[in-house]
Amino acid sequence: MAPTRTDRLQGHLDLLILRALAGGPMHGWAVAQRLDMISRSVLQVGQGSIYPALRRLENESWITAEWGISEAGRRARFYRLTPAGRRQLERERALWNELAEAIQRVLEMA
Amino acid sequence: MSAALKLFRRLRAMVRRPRLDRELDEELQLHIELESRKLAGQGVAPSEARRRALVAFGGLERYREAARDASGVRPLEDFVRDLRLGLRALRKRPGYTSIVLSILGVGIGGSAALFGAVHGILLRPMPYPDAHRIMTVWQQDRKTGEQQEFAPANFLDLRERSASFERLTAIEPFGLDWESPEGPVYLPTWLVYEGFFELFGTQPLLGRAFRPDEHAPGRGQVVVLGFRVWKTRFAGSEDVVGRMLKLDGKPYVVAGVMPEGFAMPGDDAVWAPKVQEGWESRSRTSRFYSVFGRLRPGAGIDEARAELGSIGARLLREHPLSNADLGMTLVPLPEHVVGGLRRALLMLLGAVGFLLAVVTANLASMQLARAAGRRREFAVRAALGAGAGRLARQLLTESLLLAAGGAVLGFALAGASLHGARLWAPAHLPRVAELRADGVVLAFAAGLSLLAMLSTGVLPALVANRAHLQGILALGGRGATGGRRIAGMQSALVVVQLGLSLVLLIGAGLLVRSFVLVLGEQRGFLTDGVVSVTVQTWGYYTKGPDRVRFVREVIERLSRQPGIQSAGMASSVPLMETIGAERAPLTIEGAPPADSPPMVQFTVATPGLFGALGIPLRRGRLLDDRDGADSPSVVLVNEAFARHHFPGEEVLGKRLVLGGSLESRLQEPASREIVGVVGDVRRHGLHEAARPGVYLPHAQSPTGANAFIVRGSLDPGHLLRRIKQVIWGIHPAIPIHRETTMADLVGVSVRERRFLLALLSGFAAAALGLAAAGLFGLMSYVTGERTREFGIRMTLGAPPRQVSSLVLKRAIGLAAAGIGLGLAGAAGLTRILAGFLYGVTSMDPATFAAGAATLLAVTVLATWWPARRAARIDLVETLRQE
Repeated sequence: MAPTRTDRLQGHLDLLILRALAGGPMHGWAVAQRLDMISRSVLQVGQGSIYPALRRLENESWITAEWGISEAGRRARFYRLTPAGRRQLERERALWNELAEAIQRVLEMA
Repeated sequence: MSAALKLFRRLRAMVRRPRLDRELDEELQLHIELESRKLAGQGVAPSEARRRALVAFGGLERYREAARDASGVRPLEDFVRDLRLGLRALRKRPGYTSIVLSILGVGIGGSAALFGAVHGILLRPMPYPDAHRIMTVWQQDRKTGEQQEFAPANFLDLRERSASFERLTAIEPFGLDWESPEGPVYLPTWLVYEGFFELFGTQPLLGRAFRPDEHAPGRGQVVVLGFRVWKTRFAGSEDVVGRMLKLDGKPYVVAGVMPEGFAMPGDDAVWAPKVQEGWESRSRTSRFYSVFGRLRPGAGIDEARAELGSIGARLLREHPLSNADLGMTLVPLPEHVVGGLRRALLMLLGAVGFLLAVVTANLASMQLARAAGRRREFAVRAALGAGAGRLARQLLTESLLLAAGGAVLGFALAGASLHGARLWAPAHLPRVAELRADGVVLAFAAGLSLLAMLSTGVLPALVANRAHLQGILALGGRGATGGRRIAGMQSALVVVQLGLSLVLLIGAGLLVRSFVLVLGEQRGFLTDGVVSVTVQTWGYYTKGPDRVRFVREVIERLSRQPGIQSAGMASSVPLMETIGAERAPLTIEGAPPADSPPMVQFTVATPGLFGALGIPLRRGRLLDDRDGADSPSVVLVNEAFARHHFPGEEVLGKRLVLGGSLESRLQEPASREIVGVVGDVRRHGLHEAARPGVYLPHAQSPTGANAFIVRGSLDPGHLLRRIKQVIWGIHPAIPIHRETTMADLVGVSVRERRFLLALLSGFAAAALGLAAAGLFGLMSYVTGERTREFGIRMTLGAPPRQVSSLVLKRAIGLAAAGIGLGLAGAAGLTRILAGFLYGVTSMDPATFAAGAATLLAVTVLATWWPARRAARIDLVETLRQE
């Protein structure tokens, strides 16, 4: 099946979340802020879309979650990259770079 | 991540569902709050800030659901929900459910039972350590390939010269008469050479096996009991070991009891040590040793066979007269034990496979019809948001439930069948006592049931998947295109069912014809009112004249009784296993000497035998009382003998010698004159033409193997009692070896034929019934689909007959396709049956035609009702309903 637009978006979202968490554990809202900062467009569908993604990544064992105290003094779920997640991030990043370079070359040739 | 870990996580997630839900809610609330706070910090009013936070989040409910799904709980939850839905759906349609379950149960049960038999009898190793190294060894006729028992001297030479076998042993059929507290009892016995039990590696259940010194002359008075003898004759009592039994008038000690399942060659016998007599170690022509050997570890079967070949060749050089045309060969024990049953079992397994295929096709078409009926339901559910995969999965879940039910029913049925086989199967069938519906059979039933239901569940799932919503909803569930596709698949399924049924039908037909032909053969003897009682008098009358006097006395007393027409004695009974020696080397005087004398069957008889069995005299005279011990030796021959040895010549007055120069267990050889020719008797089976045979007068060959054969107008039970009374009136200690009616012997001789026939006919009938039901269902469905069309046709003036013939034509078209398929299949497959047939070829045109005609008749019968309904359609009524 050809990937639909949501699929592609989802793939990017997963990569971006992994990248965001590479900087250290953070909770959902913070991840959303971080992505917002990096790119306004990613979360145009809604900040909420990171939650299914977080659950999915957790299921794949790429991230783990534990409860901690947020800056608001409330209990929050902090997500942290696992070693498997770090490897996945590297893989994804390498793939992405390859693709980007390829596109770049095509654009320069044109 | 490993599948197991994923599953574990899912299970854990499911258990912790409520807590996870709470945590997710908490997390999302925190997000909204933090976002609102951030916006408020940027100067947005508090209420507005919360609204904007929610907008930025983008649908709280939606993402909550999505997050829940993503946490991996969904599939399991769905599965449980599917199961519940499926159970409810099945319970709502008890008729459908029970029909599917019973069809499936029968199909699975039959297959699993046969698989159990194949597994238990053919596949499972025999219950002996390294059973694959145990061989049966045979002498073999080089010309005919016929396997024969070993002559003692040849066995002794084999044992001395063979290097491939680490152990060789022989057994000899024997019998011991036991003076039991309840009267004389005959115990079938095997005399066994040293090392017999050790060769099989089976330890006795109680006591011990034989010691080497017990095979020495004068020491062999010990027995080991077979499990069944121990159970039936000694009530399974443990203190039987060491007990003294009076056998053949001598004291024997019970040394041990063998465990259940040790059946070499049966478990309803006793074993006694073989003590070799002097003459035996020199005998190369009397062949009565069954030989077993255990290959050395590492010795191959081919290697052993080659060695046997060279030993055989050497014996032939050393003893050219007695070993002429004889070689040696071996058969692995399991192959020997299972014998001809293997072919029958595999044939039946194939046949039940066909039945299962019909069952599967039938279920598939039922499922299709049901799916068609539910298209509307599915269309509605799809419109309400159920995913296509989800709907298909629900159908598969229902199939799964039915499969589980079918497996349970099938396993129960298989268990009952195997239990029945254990109880009722003829005792001589090998390994039947070991049959159990075990885990392997259960796994087979479950796997098969699952396979059947999944394969049949896939079709309707596909249909449901392709349901065009609007079309179906608009047309009130009778979508023209979908309907046609379903009808097309249904037709194909019906054709397959009809074709497969026809194959079974033709197979069963061939067996039926063979059976009828076998029973219709000229047997050459009467069965009505004829009974026989067998005794062995060797131990009670050691001298020939005493045996003759005993037999004459019994027959005279019997002949005097009212209600008895004819009484005689014979040393062998047609269709009964051997009771005494019955083959001897034959020399015809005046004929050129043969390099090896042919073996001929002989029966020792009294004059009354021919009257009792109704064997007709063709030429010359019968035996009579003049043929005494001191009169000239005479012999009768049968027609086959006359044809074979004296084609176109006068037989009467010719002379022959039985036994000749070679030793045998007969009296000293004498030249005998042929004084009469009598009719042929099918001695070895109704399907086997009579071989050349001769009859000797008892007075001149006083054997102790006596079967009294009596014909009378009394009922058989009464007749048998009379005979026993007479025998015991003369000698009260003589045990009866066997009592039976000739009708029973005939029944037993065709028992396996009848059993195969019954099973195959049962499969064929079941398949045909299913196919007919499938056809009926399809034609009813088609008629229903075309109600409107038929109504219009009739309104426009088509006579009802024409409408019903439309339906009938379609059915006959399907039947024709099925017949084509079935005939082609049968033509390719009935060859397998060739070995089970008698008097017909496997391509018998009459049977093929009859099968096709039956199928056609069933087609018309199954279509009759739908066709009639089509002819009675009332258009106005039809249109109103729509």
